[in-house]
Amino acid sequence: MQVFNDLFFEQVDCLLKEGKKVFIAAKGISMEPTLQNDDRVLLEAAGQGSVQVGRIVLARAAEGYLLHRVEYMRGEKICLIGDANLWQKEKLCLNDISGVVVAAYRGEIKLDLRDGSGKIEQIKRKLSRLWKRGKKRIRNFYKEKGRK
Amino acid sequence: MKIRENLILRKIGKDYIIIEPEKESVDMTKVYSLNETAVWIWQQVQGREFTKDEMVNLMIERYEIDRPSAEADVENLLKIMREQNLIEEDK
Repeated sequence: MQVFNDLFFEQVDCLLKEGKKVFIAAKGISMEPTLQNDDRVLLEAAGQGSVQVGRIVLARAAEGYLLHRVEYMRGEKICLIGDANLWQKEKLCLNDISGVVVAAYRGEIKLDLRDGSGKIEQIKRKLSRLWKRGKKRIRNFYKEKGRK
Repeated sequence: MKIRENLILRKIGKDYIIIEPEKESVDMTKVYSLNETAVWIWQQVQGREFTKDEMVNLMIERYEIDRPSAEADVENLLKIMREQNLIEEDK
C-alpha cells in the first residue's frame, strides 16, 4: 500500500524492534478487498518463523514502505504481492521485512486477513477483457481480408 | 494542569511527534506533530503541574515577545492540546 513517509516508518520500525505492537493506518487500494484505505492494522516485529507465505507484512521496498502479502519465499528471497495486484510483485530479501500484520480492524470490526480475495473474480474479468479484445482483432482481420 | 503521563515526544527528522503507547501496543494512526516552539514548551512543562501563566512567562523569556502575543500563542497551543486530549486538568 502507499507509502506516505519513510521517517514515519522508521519510527514504526524502531518501536517494533523495541518489542511493541504498533497500529498503523493502511493507505491505498493495493490490498483490497482484504484491507481498505484507513483500516487499522496491528503489526508485530518480524521474528523468526513469523514471516510466512500468505501473511501480510510491512516491508521496505525501493519505492518505500508497503504492506503486501508474501507470495513465496526461497531461502532469504521473498516475493510480495498486493491482493489487488495481479502482475506487479516486489522481490525483496527477508531483511527488508520489518513487521508482520497480526490483526486488522475496520472501525470496530475485526477483519479476516486470509486471502479469500476477489482474485479469481479479477482474473475472470481480465480474461474476459482479453477475450473481447481478441475477438475484435479476429473480426477486424477477416474484415480486412474480405476487402482485399 | 499536566501533560498526560503516558505521552512520549519523539523526533522524526526535523519534526517532533507525540505518540501514545498503551501497555503492549502503540497507536501510530493517531500521531500529533509539533512545531519547534511547541516542542520547547512541551519539554519545559512535561512531567509536572503547570499553569497557563507559567507557559506565557516561559514564552516571553525565551522568545522575547510581548505578553499579548505570548498569551495568544499559549492559548492556541492549549486549545489544540485540550482538543486532542493531551492534557489532564486539575481535579
